[in-house]
Amino acid sequence: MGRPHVLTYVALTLLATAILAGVFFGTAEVSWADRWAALSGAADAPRSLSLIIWEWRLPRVLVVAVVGGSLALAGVMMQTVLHNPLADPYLMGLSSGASAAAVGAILWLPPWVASTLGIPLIAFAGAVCAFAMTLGLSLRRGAIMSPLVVILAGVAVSLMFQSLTAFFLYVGDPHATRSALGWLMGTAAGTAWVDLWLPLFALVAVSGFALLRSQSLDAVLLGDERAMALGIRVRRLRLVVFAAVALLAGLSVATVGIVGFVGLIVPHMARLLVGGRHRALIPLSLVLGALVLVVVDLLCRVILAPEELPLGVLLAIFAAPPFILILRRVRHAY
Amino acid sequence: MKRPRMLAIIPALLVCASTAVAQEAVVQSCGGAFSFDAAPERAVTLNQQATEVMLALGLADRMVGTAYMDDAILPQWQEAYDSVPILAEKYPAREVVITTDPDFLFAGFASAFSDDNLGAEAEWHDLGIGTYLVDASCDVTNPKDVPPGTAPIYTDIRVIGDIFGVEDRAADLIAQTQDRLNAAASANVGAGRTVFIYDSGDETPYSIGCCGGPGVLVEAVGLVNIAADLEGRWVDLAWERVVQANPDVIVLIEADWSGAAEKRAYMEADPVLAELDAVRDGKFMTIPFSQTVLGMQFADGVDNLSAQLATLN
Amino acid sequence: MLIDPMIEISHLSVTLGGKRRVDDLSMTVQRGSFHGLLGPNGAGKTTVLRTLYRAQNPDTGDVYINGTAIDAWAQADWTRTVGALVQEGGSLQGLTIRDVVDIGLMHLPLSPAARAACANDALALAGLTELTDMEAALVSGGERQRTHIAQVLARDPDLYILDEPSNHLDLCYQILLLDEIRRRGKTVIATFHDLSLAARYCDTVTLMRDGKGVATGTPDAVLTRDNLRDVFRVNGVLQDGALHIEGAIRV
Repeated sequence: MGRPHVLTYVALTLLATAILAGVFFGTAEVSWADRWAALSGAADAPRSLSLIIWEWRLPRVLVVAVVGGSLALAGVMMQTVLHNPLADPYLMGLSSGASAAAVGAILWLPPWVASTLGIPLIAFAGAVCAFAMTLGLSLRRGAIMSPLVVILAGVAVSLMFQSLTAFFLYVGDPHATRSALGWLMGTAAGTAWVDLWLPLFALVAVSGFALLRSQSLDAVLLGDERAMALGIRVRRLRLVVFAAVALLAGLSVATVGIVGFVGLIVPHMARLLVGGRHRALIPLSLVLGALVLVVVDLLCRVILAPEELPLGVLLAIFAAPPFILILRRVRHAY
Repeated sequence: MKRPRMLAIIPALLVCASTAVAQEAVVQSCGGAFSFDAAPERAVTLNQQATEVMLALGLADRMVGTAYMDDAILPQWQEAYDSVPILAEKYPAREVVITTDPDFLFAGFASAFSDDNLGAEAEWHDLGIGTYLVDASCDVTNPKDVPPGTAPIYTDIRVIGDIFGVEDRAADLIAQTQDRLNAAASANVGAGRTVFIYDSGDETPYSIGCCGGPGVLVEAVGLVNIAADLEGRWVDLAWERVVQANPDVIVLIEADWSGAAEKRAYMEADPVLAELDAVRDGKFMTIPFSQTVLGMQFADGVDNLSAQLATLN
Repeated sequence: MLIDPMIEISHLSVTLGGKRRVDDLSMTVQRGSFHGLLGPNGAGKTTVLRTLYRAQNPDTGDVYINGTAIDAWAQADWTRTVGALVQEGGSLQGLTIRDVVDIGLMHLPLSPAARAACANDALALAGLTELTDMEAALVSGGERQRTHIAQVLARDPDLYILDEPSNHLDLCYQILLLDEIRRRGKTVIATFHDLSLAARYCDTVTLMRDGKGVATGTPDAVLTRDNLRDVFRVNGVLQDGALHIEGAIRV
């Protein structure tokens, strides 16, 4: 397994570089000497820059990296257990449930509710609620949860919550809808150290689980029945994967809003480089996902400085070419 | 919004309008010209700013409907305001407006005449109903990247005065307003200090660029807006820029959808923002949203801001 | 005398999609024998196999493999003992032909080198040596079928459960691969559409119709002129291990 290792290490190096770049560059214009001084904690570093780097940029870049890795990992697992190259982490209604809850809270609840509970918690609750509905619609006793049914249920639930969100936005106070819309497009602005720990812990836990179960996940790629014939408990594995994806995607949406593309496209990029075996696919997807999102977040901060673009905007622009490439490959297979 | 057809002769028309016979006027609004044969009797105002212009000129008896207040009406206009029916909390539907049988529609924001609200001004003109959009909100006369100054306030008073034949009241009001603004300019309480205008938002603050009403307000008392080099009226401003600019004072806009207290609390709770000189020294000023609009409460806003600045010194 | 059963099925009934696919079927397969499941479309053959490899839960009845009820098997033992050739598809995203075989071998306590050698042997048997690095999703149906058979061969389980092993395959590969499976002498239960193939390989067969077992015995004993006419609606006879067809019967 020489090549996958090399590629993963290359990607890790790129990621480290990107993280450094993300910390050095931003909306404030500073000299290089000041940047190094602030990063190394020298005594004569300008205080405001040190604060910006340590309290704002560093946690933000790390959170973005964790979210990127989480979404990519969630995408890999969804595509495997649903036998569908177009599956993404938000398939089970997670993003729409989170949006509806967050937008509803921003527009309708009194501000003190939002500041005590926090929009992230409300968004996460919405995500879990939508997820539970999708799961409820697709479970049937004795059957193994047909992937098609899960996908359709997810689409139905997503549409329902999306129209709820649209309704909230339409009847809500136009001044307040601005911030609601900003949340929907995805932004890492305002993330602090406290936002890092839970997503990081979840990512480490789920990655560990996924790597331990790589063999089972590989077997599922052969088909549900072949995996069962090999002794894998496919239904249980699917349920656990859904729960893990709900956790990763729900926390991601709660922290930075809706970030598309990464969960869908990064697994395909990684698969093109190292193939479909999960032992190699999972680590590379994690690193690539983190890398993509860190780079895009940096671009969002500097392209139109001092205004910040929402993550969703630039990601959408980057999504089209690789997606078309993938579509052409998939067309051959079907 | 449809482009007005006679763009080139706006200045000429305004001059004509101000010297024409009191009961007839040809008015160039943002969405097209309209010829008034007589002063309207049944006006509908669609935003707070428009309502206030009418009430300031004592025209409540010519109004049949108001809509979309941003905050409470001022005490001196309360009685007059209560005598006019309220059509809606936000924008009324077109049918609701038509059933009041209006002959004049007056709006404060361009969104009033967008397709999902009341529709283009030219459409109302075809029905024989005149319209006017306040000068500051018209992208044609006041593009988003050109600082408007205080002129739009006077333009609105003058045009409404012409339409309704109350030119003398209009002239008085203009003179009063001008006096107050001139006094503030010469007092120069701001003395060139820098200011961060905090409108709303938390993770990314919404501030004012070169060309929004609140920007003109702070300039009127002699302050310098840290975002004055950014194009646009309202702009997203990254916090890092605010930290880098290290403003001398902070103006918090108080509105129903975004209170001043929560904005102040956000800045004080953030580890980086709490270290700003202005936050540590508590140099905050609060101004209600309606006083930042280039309308009838603008002079009140200038006085309000000057007073707060004086106590901060 | 049935003294050493590998598979024991007792009064098995399975309902799928509202329809009873297997109806009170009882069947035993001797260890080491090659047993065929025959019958027309809809007879329930695939359902029996799916129940055997645990993809389908029975309504009633008991199924034992090697003396233990199938839902009582531990996963590790099951993987070592049972190998199935399954008809349904799979996404096979990003997998090469070699990967498909390798995935089947992961549970074995072999070093990567030994695993690779084992896979290579099986791939050579299936004539896939040239194609090992091709993407499994992009090869032809016949090559994919050979890949799945190669995986089962590489694993060499004690019980081979084969659903339509001759599907999509050229005649030469049908013979080569089934010869190899028979040569190994393990217990095999397989479905066949081709009655000549069944006659060639099966020690015993069970004939099914409409979910019920109609007859069990050697191919000669079961594929009589009457059964061929009644069950398969074909006029013909099995003679010297080959099927002689005279014509089909219109309904």
